[in-house]
Amino acid sequence: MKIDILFFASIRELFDKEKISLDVKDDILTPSELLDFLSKNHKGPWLKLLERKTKIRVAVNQNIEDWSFKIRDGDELAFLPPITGG
Amino acid sequence: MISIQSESFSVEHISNKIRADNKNIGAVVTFVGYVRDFEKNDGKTLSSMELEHYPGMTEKVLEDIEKKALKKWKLSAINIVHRVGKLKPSEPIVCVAVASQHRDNAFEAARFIIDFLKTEAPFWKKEITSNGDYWVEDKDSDYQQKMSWSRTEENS
Repeated sequence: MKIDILFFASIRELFDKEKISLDVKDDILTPSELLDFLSKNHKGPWLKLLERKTKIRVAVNQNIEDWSFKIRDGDELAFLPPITGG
Repeated sequence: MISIQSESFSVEHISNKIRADNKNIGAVVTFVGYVRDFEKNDGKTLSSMELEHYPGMTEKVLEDIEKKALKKWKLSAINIVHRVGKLKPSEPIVCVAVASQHRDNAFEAARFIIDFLKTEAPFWKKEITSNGDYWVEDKDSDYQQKMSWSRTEENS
């Protein structure tokens, strides 16, 4: 399935990208599994992102969801660093 | 009404606009957040602040907060303005303006909206300082303030 991942703020700087599109194996079902897979296989910034997992929230299609939320083909995913507006 | 914008805003203009649309308003409460420089003993100065957000999601989250406030209190209008881009110390960042017939509802709703905005709306601040550039860390006190609203609901 195809997943778009958006990067913001410190995570955008970590990846030096605003967005990537990935072809993800169908046995990856959740953002948590996706992050585990990417950090194991691509390392680099993904490993650093995994280290920060407890401080990061995940948005699927612009809604905050649990790390165990089921992702689907065409979803827009974003790993959000701690929010600091206002 | 929600505006995400790079240009500055006038609180008076926002308040006047709300009242022009409705003659039944008895109170407008406005909260304004400003870019704050460090204190003298912090040993650094702020040259500017960069604000970014998640377009689309930000508006969605703020609309949701607005809906919750309208459900909780009898209000005449809500206007949320949040700036993005590069801001200088003492420039305004955010305005929450809430209008109602009587002041209590407007006071409480304004507090509710800014408490949820600070912890739910996907904005990020970067401080450009004399000691380097840093992404601002989130504050536990902001989350505690948001949580105090769920305690209020449990008790009511």
